[in-house]
Amino acid sequence: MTTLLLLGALTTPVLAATPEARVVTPLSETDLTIALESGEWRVRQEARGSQFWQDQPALAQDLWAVQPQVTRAGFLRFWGGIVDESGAEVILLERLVHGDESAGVRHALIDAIARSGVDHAQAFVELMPLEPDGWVRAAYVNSLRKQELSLASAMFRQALDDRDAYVRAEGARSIGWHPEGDQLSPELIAALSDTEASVREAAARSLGIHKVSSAFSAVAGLLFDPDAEVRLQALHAVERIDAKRASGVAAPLLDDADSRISRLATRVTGL
Amino acid sequence: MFATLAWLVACDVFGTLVDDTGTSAIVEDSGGGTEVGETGDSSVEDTEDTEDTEDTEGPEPVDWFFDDVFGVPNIDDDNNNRSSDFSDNGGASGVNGEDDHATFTISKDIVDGLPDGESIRITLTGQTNKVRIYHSGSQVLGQNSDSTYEISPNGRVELTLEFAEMLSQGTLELERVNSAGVTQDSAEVLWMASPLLINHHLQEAEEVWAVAVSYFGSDNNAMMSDFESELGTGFTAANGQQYGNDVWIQDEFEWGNLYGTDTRIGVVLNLIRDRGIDDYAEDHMVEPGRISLIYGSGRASMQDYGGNLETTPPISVGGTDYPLGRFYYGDDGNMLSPHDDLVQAVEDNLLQEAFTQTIKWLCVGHVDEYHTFVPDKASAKGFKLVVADVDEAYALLESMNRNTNLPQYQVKGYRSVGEILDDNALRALNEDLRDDYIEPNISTFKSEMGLTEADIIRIPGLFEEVRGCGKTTAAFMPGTVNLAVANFEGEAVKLIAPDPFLRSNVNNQTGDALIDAWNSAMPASVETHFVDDWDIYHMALGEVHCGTKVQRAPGDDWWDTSLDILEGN
Repeated sequence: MTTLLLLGALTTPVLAATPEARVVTPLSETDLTIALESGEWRVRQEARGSQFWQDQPALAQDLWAVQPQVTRAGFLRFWGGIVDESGAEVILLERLVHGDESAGVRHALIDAIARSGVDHAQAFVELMPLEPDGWVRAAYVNSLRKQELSLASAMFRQALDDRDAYVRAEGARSIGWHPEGDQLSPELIAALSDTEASVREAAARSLGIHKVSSAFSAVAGLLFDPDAEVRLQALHAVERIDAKRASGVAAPLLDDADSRISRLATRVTGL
Repeated sequence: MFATLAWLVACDVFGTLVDDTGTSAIVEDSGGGTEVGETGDSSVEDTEDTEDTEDTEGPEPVDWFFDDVFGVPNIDDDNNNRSSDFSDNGGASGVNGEDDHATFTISKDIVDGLPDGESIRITLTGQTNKVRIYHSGSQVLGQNSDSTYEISPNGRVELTLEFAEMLSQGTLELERVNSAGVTQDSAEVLWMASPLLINHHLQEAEEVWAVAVSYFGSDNNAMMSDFESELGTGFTAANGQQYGNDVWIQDEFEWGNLYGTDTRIGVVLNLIRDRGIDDYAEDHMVEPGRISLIYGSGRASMQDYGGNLETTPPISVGGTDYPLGRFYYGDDGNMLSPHDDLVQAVEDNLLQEAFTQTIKWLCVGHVDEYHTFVPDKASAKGFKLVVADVDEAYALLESMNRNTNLPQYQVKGYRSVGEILDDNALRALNEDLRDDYIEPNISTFKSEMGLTEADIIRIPGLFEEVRGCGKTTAAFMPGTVNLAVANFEGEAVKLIAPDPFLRSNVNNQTGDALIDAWNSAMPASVETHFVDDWDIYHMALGEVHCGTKVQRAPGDDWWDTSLDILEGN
């Protein structure tokens, strides 16, 4: 009965579970085993959470309560202490799903879960679109930079279609960091035409990192972008893609008002 | 400093406070003093008078010569009434703990050498409303008082000068006046209050602060213990629980000094960051002889933080000397600049001409994230610029066994040296940072400080993007250059730097490739102590320098090195 109720509840996007409920309604050993092997991340998560609360209630309570600290940059982050305990990410994910946390804390939770090294891609891909805050959505995107491409690519595509330019830029940038991000080259090339300079800039940069030769001309087209950051990253990119071809297109930037660009153009052209 | 050389006098301008004896004073109204010629312009009467003196069996001829007076603005709070002492108008030196007056003494030898019937007339000029001059416990010249004071002393005369503001300045005209009221000799003494001078790393350390924190199983107790064992009584651990566990004490304050020949006020610039540790200055740093100053208001930018506000060691560049160093800060315009009032405050003090660095590539946006200055007694300039260097980092990594496990870096997604080397995006990022920002910043140091490559130590350092900070970056390896310079008087120069953990055994620094590289590159005269700042600082986007604050002894005597710049300003 417990298992059925639990699994039924797990299909609900937002669960009403509380830490106290975990303690009073533990799963049986059989139910737990079944749940832990589920292909559905929510079921696994509920099972792992139930197990954690049952086995280490004090630590679970502390993890539910621990607050992130302010980084030097001013935003929140978890580090050290109990957050580094084995399995801590289970409770942190539980908080992310169930807790009534601020955007700053949600961001910190995503960051801590990602740093745990435990597979979280399936959960994050599903949770990302439900997140109302663009900055937090971008954290989901960023966290999949080294995850399996099949899941990461779904996240990155979502990001490139996001309404928030900050998220789109994070998507374009994260593709550059993914070891197999070159497989998303068409999406990156499309992003070169984004209305927001930050997205064009990130897309150009990622195409350069992956040395996508088919993107050379499209990226070179941004060498005359009105935004200096875009021109800079486009120039870096064409140099990475094909330094010889780049030397033939960079000359107009020798006198760019931005010293970074003119300096780089001098190097690229050899002039 | 001007004087006629009619008399030879041993003058004791900055002696200890001693009560005058047997002095009678003649106070004249402002402007009522005897007209005198240009400073140092001895009149014919001077010569005749000197000859008269030589013809008698009077005192030995002496110089009518006095040292200038350099002090501090009396803006601390010796009487603990929460207002500056000058505004209190609290009276003479020694009253209610007052100890910030500069002392001007006319020695007994001079007084004894005065011919019978001569008196001394002192005329105050310049910013007369920004000074009070006391004699025998009473104000005799200056603000809301007279401009001329005449005395017929029988013994040593000691005046004390209380200055209102930084760089308050003027002169004292000292005349020997005979019984007929005719000036026999005159000398001019310059008086000036100290400019605010921000500390640089070559000044000796006096006290080091860091913030001890502990929460949910995480603490920096080990690092605090390291500080205590290395720095002893020179180290103070602030209780972080009382200050919101805000470890970034570097960012909340910036230390400097006001100082004269025999007075000093420590200045903690209380920056407008206003986060958890903000009240620590008022609670524990401010005291008689130490003040807190605030420049600017409103919402701070990251560039208002102390980690972004630094001062070079003394330098000479292009024929211009900067004996007190140069102020510099990260500034990329718009929202990436310190408050105008803060920059203006430094510029108003004239001696530490500012220049800027570009910091928009950094998540936190502080200049202390990619370089520092360390003392180097063996070098001609006395210091080395130490910078994080991308090429050195990759060279170091490539010299290591690719399979070297790096347990500490797993939270960053890298298990081994090879995984770092194989990350093309990380390499591309760092190469671009090198070309677009780091090397241009180094070029700025070279041009603004007259440095050459020989003045620079390049230390392996990489940067990474930070989740939550868009495309901007922070130190990937703990930023070893982001360190504290603890150079206490009479002790070896100690650098407290973050442990880079570039090794398999995180518990044993022996064999750490980066530590070895560091130690082989540093000047022989410095000792580096690597402390574990990973959790509390590095993972929170800062390092040791960000988490420490150092007050230092005053630098060079500005009145000896830079008076030409300050006079008239």
